[in-house]
Amino acid sequence: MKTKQKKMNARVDFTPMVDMMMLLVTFFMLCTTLAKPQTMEIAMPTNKTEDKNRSQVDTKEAVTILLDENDRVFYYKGKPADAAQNIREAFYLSKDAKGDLKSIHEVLKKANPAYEKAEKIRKEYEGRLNAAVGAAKGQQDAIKAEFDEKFNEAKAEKGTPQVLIKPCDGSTYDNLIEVLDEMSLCNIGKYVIVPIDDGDKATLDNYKATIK
Amino acid sequence: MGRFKIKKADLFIDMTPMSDVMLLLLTFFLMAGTFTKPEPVQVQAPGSVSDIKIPSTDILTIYVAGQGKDATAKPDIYVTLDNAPIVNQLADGLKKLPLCNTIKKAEIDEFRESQSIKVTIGEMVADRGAQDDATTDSQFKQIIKQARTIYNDINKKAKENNPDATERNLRIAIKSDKGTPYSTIKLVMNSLQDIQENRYNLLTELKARPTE
Repeated sequence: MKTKQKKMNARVDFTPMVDMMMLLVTFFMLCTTLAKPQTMEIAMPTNKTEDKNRSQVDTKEAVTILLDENDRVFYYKGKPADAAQNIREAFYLSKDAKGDLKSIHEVLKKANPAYEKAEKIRKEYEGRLNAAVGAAKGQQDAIKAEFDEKFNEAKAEKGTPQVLIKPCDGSTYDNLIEVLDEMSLCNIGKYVIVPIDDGDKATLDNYKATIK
Repeated sequence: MGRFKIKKADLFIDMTPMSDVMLLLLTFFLMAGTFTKPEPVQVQAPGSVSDIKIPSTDILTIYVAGQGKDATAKPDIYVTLDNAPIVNQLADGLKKLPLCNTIKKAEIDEFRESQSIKVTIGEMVADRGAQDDATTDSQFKQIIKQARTIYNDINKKAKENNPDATERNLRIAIKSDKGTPYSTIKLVMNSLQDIQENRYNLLTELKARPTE
């Protein structure tokens, strides 16, 4: 036999394979999203006439937040009649602090007597849920249900404020979302978005003129 | 000098580990990602601490964009439904709706194709106040009403065949730019309120809870 035994090269060149993989990875990176969009669930009051009375609030415990243009925010506690004396300016937590103003977060936290209690419940259940990671789904759901019940009970306690959110036409969607966010951060159970009325507008304009 | 021994370098680099890594990355992106649905417009949603995830089916999304901070500019409002068979049914029904017969055939075909349809805001301004009169409803309202009716019919039929059938619930979500003026959001919200759609979702991006 005169065939020459060739030494076979056992190495396979993987470079084209890597090229292809890289292409696929790039494709999937560009075409997929990793995170599902977050959502904020809101329930608005109906505008049917028979329900109009329900939106009347116990004005003693009311906190009204007026969202103004240029990312300014004002608030007052109590009745709209006393608004002229009680109105103050605040600032959004996401924006820069202005002078010695309080943030709207601070204002709401202070106005809510149930804040500490609700926060404690939230933290406790957060811990329990973290501990239950990997446990049966039924068990997790049970913890969640128990949490919802206790949390809502704490938030609805007597003396908790009813927050009225009144955005001006010049405020932005971002402002609205931020204030709605504060509702959950400050554990406020009762809040509603209502259109701003002429009285509030006048109060706001007067106050803005005085602090200028 | 000149006494270096020149090694015969092996130019063959082993790509196998690289290929392994790539495969791993590919698997990760395949598993973790979901395909991005085409959106009619680019929207930069505001951040929120709310961590509720939106379910991935049967969502009617209202996109509000293209306005910046300018309240006088006309916003682009799109209605998108993520369920192709229902989009088809809805497109079939569009011609029969009183105000929608002005929609061109090409636009309806486009709706079938891309599952989104553009509505104008002008109509929404004009028809405020006329709540129960279907003939004066804007395209926006009629489309949403129609979608709701289709879902109700589906649920009714499913119930007849199988009383234990799970209900398919149409959810309405609003996705709006950060800077959209509240006046625009108000129009959308008021329109929804008029047709008794009082529960809806606001789509946001995740933001971390501020530390105390």
